[in-house]
Formats: sequence, C-alpha cells, structure tokens
Amino acid sequence: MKKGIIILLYSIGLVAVLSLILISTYEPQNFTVEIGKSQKELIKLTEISQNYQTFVEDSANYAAYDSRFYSGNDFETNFVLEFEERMNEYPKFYKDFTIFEYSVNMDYTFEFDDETNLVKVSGFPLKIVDSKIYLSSDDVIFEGEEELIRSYILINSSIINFKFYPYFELYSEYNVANIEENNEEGNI
Amino acid sequence: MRKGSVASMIEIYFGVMIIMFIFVSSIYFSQQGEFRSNADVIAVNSGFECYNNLNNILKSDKIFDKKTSLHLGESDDDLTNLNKIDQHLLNLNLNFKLSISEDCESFEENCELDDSYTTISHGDLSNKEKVISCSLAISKKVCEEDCVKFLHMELYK
Repeated sequence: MKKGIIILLYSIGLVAVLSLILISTYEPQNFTVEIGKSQKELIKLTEISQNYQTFVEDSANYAAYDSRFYSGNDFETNFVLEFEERMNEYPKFYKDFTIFEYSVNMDYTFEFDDETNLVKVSGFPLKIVDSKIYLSSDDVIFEGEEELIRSYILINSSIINFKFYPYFELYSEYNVANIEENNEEGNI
Repeated sequence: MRKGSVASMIEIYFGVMIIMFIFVSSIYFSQQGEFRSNADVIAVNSGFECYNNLNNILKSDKIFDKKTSLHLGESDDDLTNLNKIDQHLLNLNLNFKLSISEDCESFEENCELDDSYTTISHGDLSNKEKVISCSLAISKKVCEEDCVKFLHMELYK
C-alpha cells in the first residue's frame, strides 16, 4: 500500500474519532449535587460527642457503684477494668477509630476519705508521650520513663478535625461491706 | 519523475493537510467549546433536629426522677419508658417514632434495627414521609452480655 493512502486512512480515522468526541460532549450531561453533606456530618459528630460524654459519666457511675464493696487498690482496679470494658462497647462513629479507642487511656485519680467512706474519682484523657532517651558521656543509651500528659481526643473525620475533652468526676461509696459489718457489730 | 510518484506526492500532501486541519481545529474548538450540564441540587437534611431532640431527652431529668439516660440504663421496661417520654413530649408539634434496641455496630452509618426492638409513634404518621433517623447510645447498669443499648428516633414530615 502506498504511503499516501495510509496517511489518508489515518486522517479519516482521526476525523471520525474527533467527530465522535464532539457529538458525545454536545449533549448536556445530567448529574445530581447534594449540598449540606458536610454540615450533616459536622452536626452528627458534635451531637454524638455529647452523647459520648453522657456515656462516659453514666459508665463511670455504674463502674463506681459496682466497685463499692472494695477499697484502696482493689477499688481502683475493679473500677478501671469495668469502666474501660463498658467504654469499649461504644460504637465507632468516625473513620479513624483507633484514636477513639485510645480515649479509654484516661488519667484516673482516686481520693479516698476514710471519715465519710466516700471516694472522689475523676478521669481525663491521657496522652502518652514518647519516652525520653538520654545519651551518657560514654555513649550508653539510657531510656527514661514515659511522660504522661493530660490531653484530648482528636476526632479525624473526612471533613473536620476537632478536639474533644470527655471527662468525669464523681463521688461514690467504697468499702460498703465493711461499713455494714461494723454497723452490725455496733448494733450487737 | 515517474507518473506514480507524482500521485503519491499529492496523496501525502492531502494527508498532511488534513492532519494539520485536525490539529488546528481541535485547538480552536477546545478554546471555544462550552460544556453543558444540568445539575439537580438536593439539600441534605442535616439531622440537627433529630440528634438535638434525642440528646435533650437523654440529658433531661424532668421525665423520670433522674437523668433519662440513667433511668433507661437501669430499667428493662422499655415500652413503659418510651410511653413516659411520649407523654412528656405531648405538646411537641413533631411527628416521630421512638425505639429502643440492643444492636448497633457503628454510628458511621445509620443503625439498622433488628426485629427485637420496642417502638412507639408520636403524632399522625399517615401520609408522611420519613425524613431522617438518628441513634444515640445508653450505658446499661446491668452489664452481663451487652453494656450498651440504643435510643432511635425517626422524624416524619
């Protein structure tokens, strides 16, 4: 086949393709735009965050109630185990849920009052900072203790990042069985 | 020059001219071209009304003798509790369904209710369309298998 014929056929092919593209783009394209999706997700996250705060407070109350027969370290251990077990059942509500799970790493404080037999329990989000590494003069590496600071939960959704500070503070009875026994002995 | 080679030269000449024309016209039309499209704009219901009502119900201490979330977490009589919430919201000009269920895997999508849920209706729902649904979690006091149950609301307009 001659070179001229090949070029002519090639040209006709190009014209056909170009015509097809022009015809296909001439007709208007139809599509649907949904507005307010970001606002919807923002509202959902903020409202569920409020619900999470309520859930934290209620779970802490129930965990403290169930730990009322213990005192000292036993109370603390029982409270933390039950509280975190309850919190782990909260459904995930945004994509990066690993950070949310980390929220149960809370900094708990317990203040026992032996006179009233009431314990003040509080919990705040805790962040574990990388342990510090020291290099001594003879090039020996020493690893320091982990540094813990009070922090927040960073909610990473597809449209917004915001800081969230769930916490609780409550007063609960402790060592209840001993009190009842002492009262019974006193009555006798 | 032979006769055949002249014809070949003319074919090459026309071919090159057509390719040139295609390139030039494609550049021209790409600058002049207008893309036409029809867009249907739909406003998504934000769900603020639904979530706000549920949070208000759960935080209120006026419906029961304690905070609603605590009462619902302690009580297993879901139907009585839902009816009491319904009574409290009697004057609210709102059409909704309120349900309590045990299952919800994730809040990322809407919770799917199974068959075991308890539900009540508020207002006239006939000829009305469900516009939004929302769910929030309640911590259960007695925590044998599940430590959580869910309050759902469906709004109708």
